[in-house]
Order: sequence, then structure tokens, then C-alpha cells
Amino acid sequence: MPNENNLDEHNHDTKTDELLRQVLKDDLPPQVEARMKAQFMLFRENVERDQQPLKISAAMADWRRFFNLKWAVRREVLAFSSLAMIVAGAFLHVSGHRSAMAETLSFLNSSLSVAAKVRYASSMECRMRFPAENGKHRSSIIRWVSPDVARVDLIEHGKPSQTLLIYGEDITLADHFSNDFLKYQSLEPIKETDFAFALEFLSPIALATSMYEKWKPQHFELKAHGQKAAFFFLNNGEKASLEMIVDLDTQLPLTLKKYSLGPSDVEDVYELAMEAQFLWNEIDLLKKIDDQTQQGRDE
Amino acid sequence: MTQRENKRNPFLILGRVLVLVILISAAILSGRFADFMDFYGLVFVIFGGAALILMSFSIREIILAFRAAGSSVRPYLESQKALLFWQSASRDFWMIGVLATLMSFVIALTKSEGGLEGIATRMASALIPTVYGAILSVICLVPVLKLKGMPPISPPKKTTDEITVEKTSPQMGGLIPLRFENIIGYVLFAALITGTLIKSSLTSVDPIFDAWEWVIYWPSLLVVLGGTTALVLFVGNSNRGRTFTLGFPVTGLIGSFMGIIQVLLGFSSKSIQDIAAAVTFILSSCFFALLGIMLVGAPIEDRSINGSQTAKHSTLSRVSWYVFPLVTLILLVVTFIIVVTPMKKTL
Repeated sequence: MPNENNLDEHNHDTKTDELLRQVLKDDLPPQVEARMKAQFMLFRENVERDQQPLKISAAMADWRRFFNLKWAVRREVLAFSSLAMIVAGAFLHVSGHRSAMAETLSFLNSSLSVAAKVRYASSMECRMRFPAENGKHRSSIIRWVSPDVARVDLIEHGKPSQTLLIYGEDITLADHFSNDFLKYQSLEPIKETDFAFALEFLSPIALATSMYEKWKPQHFELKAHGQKAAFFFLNNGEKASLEMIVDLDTQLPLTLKKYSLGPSDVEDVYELAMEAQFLWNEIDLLKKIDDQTQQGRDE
Repeated sequence: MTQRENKRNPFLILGRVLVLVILISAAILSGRFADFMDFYGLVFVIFGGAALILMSFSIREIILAFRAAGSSVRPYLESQKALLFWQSASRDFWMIGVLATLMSFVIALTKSEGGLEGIATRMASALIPTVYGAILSVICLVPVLKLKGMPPISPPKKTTDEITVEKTSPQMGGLIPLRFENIIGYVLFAALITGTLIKSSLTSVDPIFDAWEWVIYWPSLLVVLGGTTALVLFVGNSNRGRTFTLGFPVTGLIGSFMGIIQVLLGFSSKSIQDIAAAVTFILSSCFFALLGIMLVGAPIEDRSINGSQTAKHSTLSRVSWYVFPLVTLILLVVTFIIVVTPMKKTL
């Protein structure tokens, strides 16, 4: 009987299908099944998308047409442009393209180098001039004999009129005209004397700390074919600007000019308030001080 | 007690709050808390990260991702989309943190307040936004771990309609059209960068230089842009963003290596001027490469995955997103050390 045979076959297939379904269901973990279904969904989504007619605006269609037509030409243009950009960028960099940031980095590092060099200096002589009225000027000499020994002389008519001597923690102020001696325990009272200007210069650490904390860096200029550099700083607290010429070989300051706002404080006009000339380790300061002291005694 | 009941245990919640309070108190009482506070940096990282997220995802996708992170069971496809979102968010916060640090570092150099000490302090503090970015990045990784461990359920029949965003056709060259949210993201990001630079110009009393001068540093811009364009033309496949994602960091790295060689040569000749020029080139190359990844590479790749053209982020892209900012950060620290270390001979 053909019909019965077909029925048997159908029943057999159904049973086999059921059996296979059960077996596969057991074999396939739910996680894998979910992932597989997700992949099917993605696949179907892509196929459907390809078959769907694309609905785009007229502007987009124009853009597409332009893009497709001009792509080959644009590709060549882009390739050439990209190479030109690389070459131009490299050339600009190699040829020393001016960069404000690079200059600032140089300035900062150099300033820190100078401050570090000053901090570890041992002996120095600094001659200072202060413009006064009627074209005259006052002057002073500061000497560091060692990091904690310093002497400051106020000069009048070519001779020391007052001397501030710092020897470790001993601070002595001597008046050469009246032969008075005053002893101080700290530098605080010095702010009220004629030596207030010298507080920043009394020791290598004081000068370096002042450079590091008080003076606001502005810019620098190379001078003397790169042998020297002028560093410019601002000090808003004192309403002053500073110009420091540094020897780039020794990294030590050669001259320092301090400009202050004029008496009228009008239009930021700065006037020279102080000029200092530095001599570093070039002379035996101890010997020079001894000679001067001996000369004073002889006189 | 089930896992859910465990989570709702009041003693457990109280314990967690207590640990958090102890940690915050310890940070405040240590006296160093103020050193790690940078309000504007935090705002920059949060808004910048949000802008980057908006560049890649629609509001609907963002809401779906938050829902998925909050629920214990989600359909498989939906959880995959949420996973993609949180991975991208984590990446975005990490990258914006490094970008904020880079910009803060340069802005620190422009301000002269506090003298050399003030500049050095500000340069060191510039690293704080990276900490914020890293913390937010880790927070975004929590949902990623949760979603990866979530038991999957079969997607409903209409999942495609619910999740799939704007469909694109290969006939369009695979370009994903920008959505409204994406444009908002780009505008927000541009406003943030511009606002930061304008703020730095306005707040500095005696600026040493204008930060704008550094932003438009032509040698680096030309090299990074030209190199990436050449790479994209050569490799192709730009529609998926992968080439851009790879192109920008590769050219950024090449620029950085060129700069590093110049730095080493500068050290040998003891020329701080050469070193400073090289450092500027390195930092600018990193800046443009980071911007390129954030504005072009990552959003295009995210949008193409959302458009179901590719299954997931490529490994190379992930490496670029996480390693390149790290390299930038290391170079930034090296720059700081170079600047504050006195040289034997200057200029």
C-alpha cells in the first residue's frame, strides 16, 4: 500500500525531526543559541538593508553624484595634498618655525638654570647704582664672601658711609661717620634702614629664591651672537620690571636693571631705579676686603 | 538569600556608605585634598566626555544603555548595544582627561603668576584632570563588566526595529549621516575647547604667550593631517572610522618620535632651544592626533557599529584609544621633567 508507506515514512521523518530537535536542543547552550540568533538577525538586517531602496534627500543625492563622479580626481588631489602637507610641516619645523611655546620653554629652563647656578655660587661682588635727583646717583657694593658671609657698603663720595655685615647669624650695621655699631638678631629691622634694597641680594639663596618666587617671567632675547641673553621679568607687587643679562656660558647674571613706575604712575612709564653689575668668582673677594680694610685703617 | 536580596540588605548598604564616608574623610583630613581639586578641570572632563558620547550615540541609545545597566536581564542585542555604549563612554572619559591635562599644561605655561614656582606648580597640577578622566572611565567600566556577565536572553522578533538606528546603504559609501545629537556633541566640544582658551586669555594678568598660538602650530598640524590623509587613501575603509582611528595615533606617534630624536640631539649639543622646539612639536602632534581620534575616528567607528556594519570595535582601535593617550601622558611628564631640570648650558 503506497499511502500507508508514505504515512509510515512521514511518521518516521517526524519522529526523526523531533529526536534531532531534542538532541540539538540539549547540545546547544542558551548563550550560544542567543548569540547565533543575534548573528542571524544582523545578517538578515544587512541583507534587507541592501535590498531596500534608499530614501535620501535631493541634496544628499546631489552630493553622492558629485562624490562618485569626482572621487577619482579628488583622490589624486588628496594624495598630492597629503604629501605636500607632510613635506611642508616637516620643512616648517626643521627651518626653525617660531613658536611662542618653544621660546617660553627655553626661557623657563634657562631661568631655572640661572637660579640653580646662583643658589650654589660661593662668592660674588655686585656694584649697584641708584639714580637720584639732579642727575646724581647713589651707589653700593655687595660682596658674598661665602654663602653665609656677606658685606654691603653704601658709598658716598667714593667712600663707604655705612656697612652691613652678615656673618652667619650675626648682623651688624656700622656707620663710618659716627662710628656707631648696631647689632641685629634678624633681618626684619633691616627693612626700615637704607639697606632695604639689598635684602634680595644678601645671599645666593636669597637671590635665587627671589628669582624663583617673586619675579614673573615675560620673555627673553638673545644678544651678542648667542653668547648672552636678556631675560625680562615683572614684579607687580613692587610695580617694577627687571632686565637681567645672563652670560650663557657661565649661566650667571652679568647685569641687572630694575625699572619702577614713575612717580605719577601714568601710562605704565617705567624709569630706571637700580642697575647692578655682577662679578662672579673672578677675584679673591676675601683678599680684596682685607686690602680695603687695611687701606681704611691706614687712612 | 538570593543575590538580589543580598544587594538590598540594609546593613550591606550601610556598610558601603560607611566605607565611602571613611575614604572621603581620610582624603579630606589628610590635608592634601585641595591639591587634587580642580573644579574647571572636572567640569571640562564631564562636559567633554558627554560631548564625545553625543557625537557617537543618539539620546535613545543612551537611555537604552542606562536602562540595560540598571536591569538584571536584557535582550541579547540590546545588551550588546549597551555594552558598546559603556565601552565607548569609558574610552571617551579617559581620552578627554588626557586632553584636558595637555591643555592645562600648555595654559600653565602661558601664565606668569607666582613666578617660576607658580608655573612649575601649575604644570604639575595639570595632571589632575587625567585622574578625573580615569575615575570616570573606571566608573563606566562597571556596567561593562555587569553586562558581560549578564545571562543573555533571546532577542524579541522586532528587536531590529527597536534597536537599529538610521539605516545606511553601501551605495552611500557607507557614510553614516550625522544625527541631531551628534551635531550637538560636536558643537558642545568645540565650545568647550574654545571657551577654555578664551578663559585662559581673559584670566591671565601678564600672559607670557597666547595659548591660541600653540593650538595653531602649523608644522604638527600639517604632518598629522597629511599623514592621516595619506594613510586613509592608501588603506581605504575610512567609512568605518578604523583607518582614521589608527591613522591619527600613528602619525601622532611618528611626529612624537621625530621630536624625541630631536630632544636627544638637543641634549647632546646642550641646546635648550632645540629641545624646546622638539618638545613643542611632540605636544602639538599628540594634541592634534588626540583631537583627530576624538572628533573623527572614534565617532565614525561607533556610529558604523551602531549601524550594524561591523560587529565590534577592532582590537587595533582599542589599543589606539587607550595606549596613545597614555603615551601622550608619559611624554607630558617627560616634558615637565625636561623643563624644570636645569641644564649645564642654556639656549
